[in-house]
Amino acid sequence: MELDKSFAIAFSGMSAQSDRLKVIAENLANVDSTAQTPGGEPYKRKIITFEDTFDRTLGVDEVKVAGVRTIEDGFGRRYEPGHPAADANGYVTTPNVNSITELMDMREAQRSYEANLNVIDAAKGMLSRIIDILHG
Amino acid sequence: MPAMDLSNIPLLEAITRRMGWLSQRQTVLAENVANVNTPGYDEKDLKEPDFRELVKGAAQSVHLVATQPGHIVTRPDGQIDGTYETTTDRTLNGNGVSIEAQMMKVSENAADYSLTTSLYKKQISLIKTALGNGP
Repeated sequence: MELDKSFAIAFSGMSAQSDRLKVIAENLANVDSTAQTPGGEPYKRKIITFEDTFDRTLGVDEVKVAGVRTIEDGFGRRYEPGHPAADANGYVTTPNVNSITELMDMREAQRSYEANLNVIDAAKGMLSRIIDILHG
Repeated sequence: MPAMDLSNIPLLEAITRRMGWLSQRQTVLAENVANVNTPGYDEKDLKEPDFRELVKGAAQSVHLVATQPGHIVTRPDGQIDGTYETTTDRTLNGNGVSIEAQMMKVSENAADYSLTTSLYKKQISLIKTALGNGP
């Protein structure tokens, strides 16, 4: 049945967006996570990518997480000689996480999640309409 | 005596097909919304069938056949084959889905569906009245 497919697709979209939110939460939580050893590497920002995938059983395009990558550049530097991660010159390398960027990404994930919920709502309404016919 | 089959009534068959088309379209719209952040994905919509032809041909079991690209084809089960792309602009990652347009289409689709099922119910109650069982 066609409407079942709508549910499955929207659920795939919602789970992809939840995964995205999870990665954003990791980034935000680690916004200040530096290394523990002198000159070590701090937390690296992660980004998630999506791809559309063809579901053979349903015959429809769903969405799935293509992978999570780490970004290797754009680190900040802070002068803090007493810090355990400070190098010979007293500088600490800080994570390449920008909380504004993460917050913007979070809003987008939220918006996309709500859009999928809307689709489920509409499909549910259509389904209940068809059941109404049975009640005459 | 042959059994009474509601789908032999042309109007009811046309309505049933319309409901099938709307469900199919809902699936296409769900695909668009699910892929709203997928790089390189273009939004799609389901081709509109020619309902005048469907109503006219509802009593006959004739299907539309594609003889040229761009023709709309009906499968034997009455479903429409084919979608077309509706992308107007793309974001930086090459995604062409406009979430606002999709939301509008989803609610429009749901409203059309509710109209169609109401029509179906009315038609059934008309038949009931004719049978003398009252609405």
